[in-house]
Amino acid sequence: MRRGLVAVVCFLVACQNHAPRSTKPDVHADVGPGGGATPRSGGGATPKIDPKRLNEIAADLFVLASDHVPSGRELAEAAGALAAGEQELRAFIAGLVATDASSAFAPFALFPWESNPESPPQSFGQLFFQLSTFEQAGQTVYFLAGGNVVGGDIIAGSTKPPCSLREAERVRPWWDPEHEILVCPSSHRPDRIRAINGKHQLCSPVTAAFERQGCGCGPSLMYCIKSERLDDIGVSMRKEFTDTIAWSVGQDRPLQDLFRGRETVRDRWIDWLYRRQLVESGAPAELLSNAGWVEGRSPRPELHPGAHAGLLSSPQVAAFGCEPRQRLMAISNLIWCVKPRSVAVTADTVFRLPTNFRAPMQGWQLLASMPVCDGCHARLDYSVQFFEGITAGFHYDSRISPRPGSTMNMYMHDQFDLRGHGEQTPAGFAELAVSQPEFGACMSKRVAAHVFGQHATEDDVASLLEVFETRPTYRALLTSALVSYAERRLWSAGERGETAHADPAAAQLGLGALVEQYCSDCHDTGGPAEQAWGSSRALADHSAMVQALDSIGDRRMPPARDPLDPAVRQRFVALLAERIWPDAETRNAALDNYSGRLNNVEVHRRSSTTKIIGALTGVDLDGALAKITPFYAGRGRDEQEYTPDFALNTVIDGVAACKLAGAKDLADCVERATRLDAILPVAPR
Amino acid sequence: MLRRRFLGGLAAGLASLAVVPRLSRATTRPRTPYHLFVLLGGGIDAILSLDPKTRAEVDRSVDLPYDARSIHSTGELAFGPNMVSLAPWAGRAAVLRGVLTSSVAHPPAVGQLLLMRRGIPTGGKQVAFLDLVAGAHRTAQLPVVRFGNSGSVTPKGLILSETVFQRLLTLSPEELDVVRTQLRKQAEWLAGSRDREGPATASRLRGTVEFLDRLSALPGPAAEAWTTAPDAQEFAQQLQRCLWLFEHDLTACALVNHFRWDTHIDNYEEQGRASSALLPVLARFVEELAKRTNSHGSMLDQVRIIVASELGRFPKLNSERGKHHFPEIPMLFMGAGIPGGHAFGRTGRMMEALAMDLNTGLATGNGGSLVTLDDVGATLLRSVGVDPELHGNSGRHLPFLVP
Repeated sequence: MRRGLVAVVCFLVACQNHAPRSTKPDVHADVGPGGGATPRSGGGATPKIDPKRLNEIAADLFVLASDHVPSGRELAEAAGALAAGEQELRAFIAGLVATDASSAFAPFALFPWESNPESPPQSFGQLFFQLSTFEQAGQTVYFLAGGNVVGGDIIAGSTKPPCSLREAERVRPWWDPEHEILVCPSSHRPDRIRAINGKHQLCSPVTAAFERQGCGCGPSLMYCIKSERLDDIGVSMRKEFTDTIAWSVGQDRPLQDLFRGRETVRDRWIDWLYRRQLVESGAPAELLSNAGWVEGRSPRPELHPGAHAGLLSSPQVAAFGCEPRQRLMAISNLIWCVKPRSVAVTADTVFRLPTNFRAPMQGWQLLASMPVCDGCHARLDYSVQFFEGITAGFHYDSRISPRPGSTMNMYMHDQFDLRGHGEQTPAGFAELAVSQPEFGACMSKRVAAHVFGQHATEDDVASLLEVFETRPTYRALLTSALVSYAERRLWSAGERGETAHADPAAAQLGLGALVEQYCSDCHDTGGPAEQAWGSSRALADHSAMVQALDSIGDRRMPPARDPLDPAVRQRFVALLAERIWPDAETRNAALDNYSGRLNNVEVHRRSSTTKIIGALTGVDLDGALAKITPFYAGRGRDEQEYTPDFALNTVIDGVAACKLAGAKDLADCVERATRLDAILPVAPR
Repeated sequence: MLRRRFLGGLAAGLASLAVVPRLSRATTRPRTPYHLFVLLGGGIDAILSLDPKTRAEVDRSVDLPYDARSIHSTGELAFGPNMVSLAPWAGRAAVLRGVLTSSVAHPPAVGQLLLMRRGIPTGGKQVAFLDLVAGAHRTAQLPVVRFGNSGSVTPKGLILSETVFQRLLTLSPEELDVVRTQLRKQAEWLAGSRDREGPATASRLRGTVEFLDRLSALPGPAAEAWTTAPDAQEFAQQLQRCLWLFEHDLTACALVNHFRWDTHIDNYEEQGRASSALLPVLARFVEELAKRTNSHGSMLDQVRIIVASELGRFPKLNSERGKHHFPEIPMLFMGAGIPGGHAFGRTGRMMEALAMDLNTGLATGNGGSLVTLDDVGATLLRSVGVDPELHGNSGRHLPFLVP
């Protein structure tokens, strides 16, 4: 493989008597008695590492790199690299990360919610009208049930067919141009792409009361689809998103490239969606049947220069929200890890909204400039303007499209945080967006969350950000994170692998000095935060102290940009608790609640857990189990906990696997297949 | 055999005492009620439901699409046209109007409603309100059963009812026994851990084993026809299952969420459509509770129902006859420990919350305070013996709500 692995192989010669050599996946197979290794890096006396723990760490590296359960041989190689020293370990991990399997897993590791295979995006329903059918004389006739659009759903449609078989027209639909189907004339209307009475609104499912405006499915039934094909489109949309990421990661491209440029990896159906936009913009309807798609990564059809911004202009991302702000909320989370907060909103604030603020985006400039509101709306509402013209259902509406050559501002935290000014196109937005410091911080945070789970610290993110600044690729970030993860677990006294920090000066400070040092910069400014908790009154106000203890104990404060040394945090919390509760029993109970006493242990993702169970029983569970629910499929490692639900599903998976494997002793097999030391990434101490 | 199983579960539960949330300093307290949290997702319109008004009571800009005859009044309580199906149970219900949620975006608002605290960004390790109540309910932590999607806050003791029930049904008695045995072994393995999460998880797994022990000894819940509305069948089935779970002491808390009230278009019609389909089913649930008894008495005296949306609706219509969001909500409480027949709090001519006396819940001429979601959460937690401050909730006590 690589030079580093030569060393690994050499090392393995020494321990081959102990290492299992099976190619069968063998999660956490023991290296063997006496196989414990002594890491050589770091110099000085080093503790001997328990071989079981070495195996557990090695197995985790495979799962985290590529959602792959290692064979006995792979495990032994990894264990060897772990024991061999920092250089070999880094080389081995770089090899793991450079595989196709790791590239294919990258979208799910980086963007678990957005890549969720079990849940279509929110406004998926606005892509197409689903056709209804009736049967007459052995023939199927399609018709549009009509109704009204509410959010992502079309409701209150009539189930009564608007025509008889005799009146139906023969149409070659876009999804199968080789074959004709029968469609009611009022549901067809091939001449109608735009409504006649709707100020030239599209006839698409984003238009309310489309029937009254003379709309049908349009040429080649461009606005409609057979219900049984809809799921395929959903899969294709998601695959464009994940395959494009996998391709880019496979080429070790900068992460910024995911959100720039015309190229994506897509199938013919998604290519058709882009061509439909061209027809909606006025291009000839013939484009709908023009097969211009080429397999693999290629430039997309483009409405105008700058219309494409990597994945940001893909149908999957367009469908993340039913209205423009929702889409931008999703984009903000995708690229900057900024989530909607919406706190401290009062009725008075809402009443001061402009009186003409009645329709979506109406009066947005005023909203974006109002105190409190501007915390979200300066970012969202200005950013929305770059994408105007593309609706949630991935339609092109020229009525709201910016004029060529227009420019727009971009803001981040509020109306005073102007970040730049660019061409008012998706590409203009993307150039500004990926150059913000929040982009690198977000990608680093996502990789840290994937590797370190709930135990990712501000320091982990900061270290990865340093890597990002010199080499902004997923592989570089993942390699660095996995090396840190492995080393931390190897070298820490406890399995959790937390690193100890020391800030001796701060660890001696009293409560008042800690408040002054860590809180007053923000809370004594007289700004909105001051109203919630001001340091000037903090130590005299019981309720404020309870809030302070909670936010510091829960690591919400101080903010991530100003990380607190763990020892100082511990002292801060202890001193606050002492001030709040003089009674030791109550105080200890409160402190207990911030020590994980109420939490569950972390667990691998459900998809990884089923793979591990499959590996331990020697069966492939992929097709054997019911689909993993969207609840789990859209969650990253940092959001997984071994709840009763997770536990029940895991053990029931174990039963299914053991039955498939034909186990004679079901109880024994299930016990082995669902061992917690195999399915928890870090076994509790 | 069953008795032995039950005692085994009980013993395991007692062993898990150490990780049940610490209770407040109160010495004695009554039996903790079961809790059903009904989340009317999207934002029910106060003026159509729990805070109806007459034209004279509101500003002319406020949308009021009904006349005073549509208001059903029983003593202090008044139910709007969309809540009229619950009016027969006014004697067991209390309404708190004008509760500040301080949020107008669904995801954070849902998160804070499930925490019963404001301003906490979700996605961390927050412990849901129902987890704390479930911990106070008994020594073993029976799972919190969830129907529907609850957003980003996941109860630590979660069971997703639909999927797990379905999977459990596919198991033979022998396989179910294997599942129980393995969960028990996992609990034992975790209980010995020095990390605090290990024993906490072990305790919940023991509760799950107890849940399975009891479940396996029972016939499944019978499906009854509670409604003819097609879009309320799922809700009816979920509430029937909640009833069955409570009756058989299989869970302490259940959460039911239906996201049907986010009416930015055609507010009156869509609010009416959702409410007329689902709320009669809730009324039927209350009726069934009132009919049924166990060794501790009436089920209605043992189940506390909390009904709320994560956010409210702006009082004026938009151009599509819909209503946007509002950071204040009305809340409905019914059943165990709730002083029935009372309406607390008051809203003004623009449906805005007005200050109240936090001891009585009555409007004040001047002075008083606005009531917040934190206050409600803190009060409900205290009522089950959990000290809210130990969990970071510094909300004030509302003695009128749960005396």
